[in-house]
Amino acid sequence: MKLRLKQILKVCLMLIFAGLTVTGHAQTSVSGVVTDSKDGKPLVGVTVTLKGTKTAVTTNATGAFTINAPANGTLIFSSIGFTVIQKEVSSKTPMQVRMIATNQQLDEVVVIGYGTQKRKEVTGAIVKVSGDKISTLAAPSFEAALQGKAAGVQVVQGSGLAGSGSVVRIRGIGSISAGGDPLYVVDGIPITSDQFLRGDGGGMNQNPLSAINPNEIESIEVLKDAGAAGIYGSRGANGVILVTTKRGKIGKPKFNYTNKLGFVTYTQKPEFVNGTEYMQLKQEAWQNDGNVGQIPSSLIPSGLSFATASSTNTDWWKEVTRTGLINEHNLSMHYGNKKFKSFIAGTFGKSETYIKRNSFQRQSIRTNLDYTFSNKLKVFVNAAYNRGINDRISIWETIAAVQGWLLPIHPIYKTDGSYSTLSANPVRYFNETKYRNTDDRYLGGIILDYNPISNLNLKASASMDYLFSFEDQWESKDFTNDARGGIAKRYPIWVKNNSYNFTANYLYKLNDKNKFNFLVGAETQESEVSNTNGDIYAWGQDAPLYKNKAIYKDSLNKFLNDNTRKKQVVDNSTFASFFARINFASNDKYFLQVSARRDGSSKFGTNNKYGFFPTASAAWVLSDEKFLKNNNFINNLKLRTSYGLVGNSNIATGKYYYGYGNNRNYNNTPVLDPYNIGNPDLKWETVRNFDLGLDFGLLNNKLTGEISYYRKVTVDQLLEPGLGASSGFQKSWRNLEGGKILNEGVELTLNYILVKKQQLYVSVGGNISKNYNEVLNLGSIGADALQGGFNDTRIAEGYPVGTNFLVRYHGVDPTDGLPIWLDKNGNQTKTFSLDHRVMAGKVLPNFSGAFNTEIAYKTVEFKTLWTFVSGGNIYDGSAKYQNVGNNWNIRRDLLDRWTKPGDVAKYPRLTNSVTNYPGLGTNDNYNSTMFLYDASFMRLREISLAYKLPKGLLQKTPFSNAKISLVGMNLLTFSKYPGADPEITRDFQNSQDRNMSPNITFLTPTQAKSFVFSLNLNF
Amino acid sequence: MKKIIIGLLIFANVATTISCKKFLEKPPEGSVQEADALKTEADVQALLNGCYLLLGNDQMYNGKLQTTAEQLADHLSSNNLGGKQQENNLRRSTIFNTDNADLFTGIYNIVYRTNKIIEKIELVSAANKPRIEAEARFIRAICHFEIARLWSHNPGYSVNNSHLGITIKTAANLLPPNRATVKETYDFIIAELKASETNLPTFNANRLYADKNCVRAFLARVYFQMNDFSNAYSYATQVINSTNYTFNTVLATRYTALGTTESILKTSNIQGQHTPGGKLREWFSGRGGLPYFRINDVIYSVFNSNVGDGRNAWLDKVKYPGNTYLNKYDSSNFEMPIIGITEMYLIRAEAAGEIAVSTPAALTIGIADINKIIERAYGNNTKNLALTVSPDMLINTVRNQREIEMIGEGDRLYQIKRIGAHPIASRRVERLDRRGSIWNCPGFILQFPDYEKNANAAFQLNVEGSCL
Repeated sequence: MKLRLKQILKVCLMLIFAGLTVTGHAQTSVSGVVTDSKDGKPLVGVTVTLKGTKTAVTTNATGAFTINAPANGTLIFSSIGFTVIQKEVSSKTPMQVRMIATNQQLDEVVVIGYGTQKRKEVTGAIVKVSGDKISTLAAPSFEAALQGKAAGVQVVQGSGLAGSGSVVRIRGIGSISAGGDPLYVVDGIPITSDQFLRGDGGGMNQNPLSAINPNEIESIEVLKDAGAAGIYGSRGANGVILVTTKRGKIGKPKFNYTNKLGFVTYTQKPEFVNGTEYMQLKQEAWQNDGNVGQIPSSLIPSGLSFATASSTNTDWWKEVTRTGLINEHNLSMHYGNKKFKSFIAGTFGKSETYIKRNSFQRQSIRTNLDYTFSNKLKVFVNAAYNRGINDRISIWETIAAVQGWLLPIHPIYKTDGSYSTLSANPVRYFNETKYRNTDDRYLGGIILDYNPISNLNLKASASMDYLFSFEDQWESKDFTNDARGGIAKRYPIWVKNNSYNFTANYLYKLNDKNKFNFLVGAETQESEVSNTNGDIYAWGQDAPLYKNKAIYKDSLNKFLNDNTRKKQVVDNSTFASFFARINFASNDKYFLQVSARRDGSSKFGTNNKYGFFPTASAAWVLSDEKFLKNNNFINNLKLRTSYGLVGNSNIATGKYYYGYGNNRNYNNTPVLDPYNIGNPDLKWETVRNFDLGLDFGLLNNKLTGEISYYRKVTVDQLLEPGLGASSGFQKSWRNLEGGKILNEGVELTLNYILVKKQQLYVSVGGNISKNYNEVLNLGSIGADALQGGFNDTRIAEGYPVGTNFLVRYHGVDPTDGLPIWLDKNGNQTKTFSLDHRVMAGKVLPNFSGAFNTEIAYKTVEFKTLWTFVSGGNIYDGSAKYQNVGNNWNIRRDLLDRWTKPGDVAKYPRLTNSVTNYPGLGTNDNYNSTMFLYDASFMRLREISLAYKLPKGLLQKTPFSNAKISLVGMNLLTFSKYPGADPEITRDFQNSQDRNMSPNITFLTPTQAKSFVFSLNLNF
Repeated sequence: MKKIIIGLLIFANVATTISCKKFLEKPPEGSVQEADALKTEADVQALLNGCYLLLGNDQMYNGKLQTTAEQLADHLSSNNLGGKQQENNLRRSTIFNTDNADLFTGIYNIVYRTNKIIEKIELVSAANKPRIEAEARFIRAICHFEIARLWSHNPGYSVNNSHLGITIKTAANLLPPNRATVKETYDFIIAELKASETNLPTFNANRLYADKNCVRAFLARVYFQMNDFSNAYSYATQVINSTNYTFNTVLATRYTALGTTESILKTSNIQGQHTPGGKLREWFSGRGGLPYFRINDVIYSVFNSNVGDGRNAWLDKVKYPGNTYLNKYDSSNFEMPIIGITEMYLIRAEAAGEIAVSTPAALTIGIADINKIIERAYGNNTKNLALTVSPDMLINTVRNQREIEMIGEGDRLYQIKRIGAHPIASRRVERLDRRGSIWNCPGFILQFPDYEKNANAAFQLNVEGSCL
């Protein structure tokens, strides 16, 4: 059956591409085997070309090749990482060809902005991560899989929710209100990655990146410094992540099928007291507050009687969690000849999370086609469609509620068997509602590549990135409790992102030793986000609108016709850019690059419409100098440095306009409402970015690595809040005059091959980054100026971005159990005051990094990846409510409390209102270091065991290769944090919140751990 | 083919390299830009209309101002208040009280609009310019006054009122906030009111827009708050004497859909357009269930001790057993009186007692004024004051009547502070507050929102707490 399938597929594809296939001319058949001179292993994918012709083949999995060639012909053997060999056709067949490895570290091809370079020529700081390292992990989105794989790239994975987005920071954070995320570019298209398209609905920021299929990724290049990211001008300040998808290869159609099957559960369950204990604690608080007798019903949540409450003990955690299943199928094919190459891939999969009813389904197809019309003209066409179906839950009805206000004393059902509605009821919610995001994303582009004369390359491309996103919500009649019945709602969002660019690249060889490479280009991009100004709804529905599209269309048309709703553009941003880059190489060891970009944007005010971003960088391959040549110790040593200006313009468009609304009346006369103070001077924020790095390969390239130092100073920060309220507005976009934020750091990456033998390979490696972040200047902004949205983090002068500004908790007075605080001067006081707040912690770590091991023996591979974070703090914003007074669940570790005079306890006496603690007016202000924790952790991020089936076993099958593997993610975590998981990315209110508040938790769903079995077949 | 390709490349080049100003200008959809929005007299008038809409419908007198003052005062039941309202009620408001911040910003947003009107006054015809500017200045003044009453201590708190007041905003800009003294603040308010009086019409029959009587009524309110009784008496008298406003002789709520003839300035109620007073209904009304704001037992007893007082019916203890709520705002929608004639009578009556020594004739007028209110409350004259009562008796009676008459209207807090700051010791009651706080304790004024401090690190915040 499998054989038939393969044959059918082959026939179909051959039929499709028959017209494009070039058939070789039959001559004498020459065969041979190509091996690595170092270990004798066969080399796969070596191109064998008959010199002077277009006839070419590639070696197969055993290194073998067969080519038609005349007896006196010459064959050219080429492969990346190896020196090209020419050999005359030998009468001895099979021919034995041993290829000598070049310095792979230097010859690796790296994707850069608007081109590629050999690693040796690269003058910027770029990390390359191959696609196979991204796709193995059961991460919620591809960017999460970057964690631990690139020095200087801190990835805080999103929560355990399906499709959740990670916070990615490249060399720290220098922005305040503007987005601090890197620019994501897929196959040259700067794509939409806005995490706030849907705000934080349901307790999650929708992550558009989850629609990128990790299985289609060939490589990811992370551009970190000005030398690398400067060519992206006003969008390069936070670094750039270039995603390159797979393309066709020369050779017969080859198929790859992967099936992943796995299980998901939570990394750590937060522990709370049960119902009986809860009521005992309520009673204890009642007595602590000076009362006698039994606590009255009025102080028991939901008006329950003491007896009823004490006898109810619902395990709500159990009701909302499960063991989730992962099942994913990927099928891809690549095929090609000299004229035509294709890569086609499809994916169908569903990944459940550990939260009931929460899962992410992916259906995607990608076609990447390359056609060579002539030596001068090539066309590349990319087309990808991805449907991501996120079956969501509102955390506030489920996983957050069970950690907050939904108590064990709350029953699931009333005595009559109907659902209890005393508080949130996840069982009712799961059964009586639906919540789904359907994201259809189309990514496509066409590139014309033309070489009109020798050394001149012209490229013109047109690309699109369309995202059609529908959020469906449905509530049954029982849930709405409305005579009109159930309600089905849909919130559509349309994102259209078109970009066009043109580049001209000219290679000018001054002489044998010196050459220039000139690049000039122009680019325009327009991105438009639209929605309807509200939901499209229909009453009387017993199913969501995605199950009844006719009703959706009818409702939409009705609402549009009667003006209940209108389609509106909520953001329309444009860029028009010009850029140029000059690369100079001398003696193949001195490299110099200068680049500049001029960006105009609809985001910039009329007085600052265009920004200019110049950079310069250089590299020196010391190992090619005479004094180091033929050195047994040093194989590769490259010094590189860069300096430049890069910008950040990650804000919505048109914020510089004064805005007025004129759609209201007062007493039947028109009203004009100003809603925005304009600012024609609004512009990008600028980063002055310096980088110095050393790439090295030592001990016969057994020890390779890189060490880098960088210093980034961000000025003219884009700022939205911090206005005096007496201006009449709380927010207005402007550049912070005098603002200055420093990110300075060191990164070290090391890989060491312990054993490299024919059947055994052992290596260890890792990276560590230290980023020092300090706000050097904030102008006249006050201490509370720059808050992180929901969270108690601040930006303040002299401290890092995301500082915990809290009252210091000293401990408990053993005599009365009341909390003791420290005032600003460090004096003890029992009266709480916000005036006592100091900069007490920070969300940014001191160090972050990873280490990995790899052992390969024969056909078995065993890999581990450990990631770690050292230093920094977690602030638990929900802990302040997890007390009996607020009627929330009580975390078990908070039970270390004062109960009677003389007790030495960690936490103060329980009370039914924190206002009984002197100075506190509300629970909302009960923020202190009492709930500030060490954020350090280490986790076994990835562990995998793979087994490649021996060829012998596959001989009677259609498969050329078969591999099975087991991959575990987040299986072990070591942390001092007493809450749930120490890796925290909660839902954020806005970019500023996101910049400042990773590591702030508020009932955030804990991370997931997974165990995935994978089967990979090649045929 | 080659030509096509070259053509395409050239096109791509041209398309991407032309400087396209329009392409880079993308104003937010639905937004009218200032250059288009403010170019005619009608536009300026529309901006002014918006100020009136905000006064009673969106901000301030829609109930935000009144309910905030009630949280700080002594009439509400504290038991069920939580969050920001509890914080205010405990008189421990902080920079993070977002309700207070929204109110503060909302009022200053009206000030911004008035300043914009004054900046753009050249767009207005000569005939209308004085009136529109005067209306803007009137609104600007009353906004400053209401902010000053909540966010700074009462006049009389310090010698020469040198204690800190609020930021005076006379331009639509983002300049950092800077607190003036209370003296400067009140001087500004009075000067602006007086300046606006000149160019306003004497009487607007619809009472929806500022006229001379509105200015005088507010001057009476401002002077009264300053314990400047002569001026308060004088301006209240001018309003009462204008005869444009009918004192309701039959007790009824002032909060009805049809409105009250007592209003000197009000916000109209037009279903489908605007229904002012929303915050009052949201927190006080018991039409749809037990309201959030309930009345405490102490003031209920005060009401109940006045047998025969029709106003006792305002406090409903029956509908929701165990709870007392104020049913003044039970109408599903109503016109929003911003200032009315009853308050003028109350001001004049009390001021009359205060100035009786220097102006003996005022005493009789004051007694008559308060008797109007008493008689209406009881439906007869049995509880009327005798014409022979002493000034002190008049003053005490008026203070008591005022507390009852204006319950739930946000007035009580200001009387606690004003009477505490009274310049004459014998008439000063420092702990009028039924919860025992002294009138000048720090927590009796709201803390400024953090935004205010944010824009100016040197901005001096209020001292917090220490009342209860």
